[in-house]
Amino acid sequence: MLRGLYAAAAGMDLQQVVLNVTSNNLAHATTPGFKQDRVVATSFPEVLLWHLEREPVRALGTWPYTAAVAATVTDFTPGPLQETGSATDLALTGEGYFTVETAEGPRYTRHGSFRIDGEGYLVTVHGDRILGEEGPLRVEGPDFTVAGDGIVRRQGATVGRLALASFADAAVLRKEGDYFAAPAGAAGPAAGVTVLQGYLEGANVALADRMVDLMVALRSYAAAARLAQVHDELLGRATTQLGVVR
Amino acid sequence: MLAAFAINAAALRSQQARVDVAAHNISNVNTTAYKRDRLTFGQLLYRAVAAGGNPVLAPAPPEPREGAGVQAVGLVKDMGPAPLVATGRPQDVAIEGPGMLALLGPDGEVLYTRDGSLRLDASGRLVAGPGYPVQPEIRVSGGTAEVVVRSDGTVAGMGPANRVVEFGRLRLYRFANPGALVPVGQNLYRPGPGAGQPEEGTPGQAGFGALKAGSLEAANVDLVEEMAVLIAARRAYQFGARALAVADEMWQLAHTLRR
Repeated sequence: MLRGLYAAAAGMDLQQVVLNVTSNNLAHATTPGFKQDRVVATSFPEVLLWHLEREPVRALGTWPYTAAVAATVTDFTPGPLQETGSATDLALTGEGYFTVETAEGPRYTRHGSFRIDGEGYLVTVHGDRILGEEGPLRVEGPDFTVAGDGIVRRQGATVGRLALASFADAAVLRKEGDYFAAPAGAAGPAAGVTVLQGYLEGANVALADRMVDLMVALRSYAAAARLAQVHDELLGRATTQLGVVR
Repeated sequence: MLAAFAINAAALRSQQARVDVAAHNISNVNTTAYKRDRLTFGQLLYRAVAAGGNPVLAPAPPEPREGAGVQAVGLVKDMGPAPLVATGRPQDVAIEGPGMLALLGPDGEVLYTRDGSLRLDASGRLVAGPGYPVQPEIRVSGGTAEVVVRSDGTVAGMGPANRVVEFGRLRLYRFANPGALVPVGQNLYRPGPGAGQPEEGTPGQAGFGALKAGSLEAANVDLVEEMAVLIAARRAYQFGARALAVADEMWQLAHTLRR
């Protein structure tokens, strides 16, 4: 009986996680390059119940303890392209990532709303430099062009070529805010990726689906709460009515 | 549960900031040489789902992680060009390029502007913006009629005996990264740490821009785009508010669990 009470509580906790992740998805409806996340729920590994009161001890069967979060999965489908007309806004079509130089090593992003730092380098909104194939790209001013193949030119001279990365299995990517971290050696050169200057990739949040997630989370939470109440009532009867002589 | 409140509160705050920026842009649609602001959003850090005390299946990497919400990650000026508006006043100049005029502010600080509505102060100095003298200083002697600014920046007028007199030449300044200039109001900018050092040039020089007399630069605000931003911000705000209401309803359920 008490196990059931804890199972109901864990069900409520699980729906909280769904609410958190859905809230985060909705919060990023207008964040460039955002990729929506999803919660994968599972039952806890089934445990074997034993009958211990009477010899011989025998197995009664299996029982799934409760529900839990198995994984959070990122949906890597591309978001819609939005024209901004700003030279420092870049978007990628196809499966590829901009490479960013950070203190913790290379990071990867599709958040292409860049700017130019005090030393003339192209940087992300967080101030980290965008890497070209031969180091950071020093564009100096906003009068630079980026061709579809990633070659950056300023006043006719080539500044460098964007280092675009791709991954055989996107599941190795780990989200760190707007950046993705990847295990060393996992990044390969991107093929079939086109760079668009003056565009941003919007978030890939499917708003209607995420609203449905919200409704499901709320109702599942309510159902688990009701379950906890029923258990509470049963426990109440067990403690007050069992064995009462009328 | 508190995480959901924080995430949605951040979403509401961010969208509110976007509305504020759009409102500021729209209210400056008729401001000479106003450059629109643009706000970008980014993600807050991710943390382990298990850290919140939530049920997570025994760790099989990668560990489940959840995002902490959204933040406004930077307000930048879009220094892009704007249409020119003819005023017919010969002392009005629009800069057809990225150059800016340097003005001497009241505290001796050099400020930069693209507002080229030039005029003379009581002592004959050429001033712009809120009445700050143009740098380097150009002084027009008294009694000069028909002061004009030529496309190469030369300031000239009709002196005594109907002789054309030249008083000096305007200089233009440009920055490697004009988007990082700090707006200080009244169409003036201060060089911010990211803007780079001002580079001096003359009007008409490549990369600075020629002057067009009798015109002023309009604001580069696109009303249709700002309206689209407002609509998107309102809807996004509603999504955040709805998710917040769900979190509230869940909390209500939790605290009435024991009746």
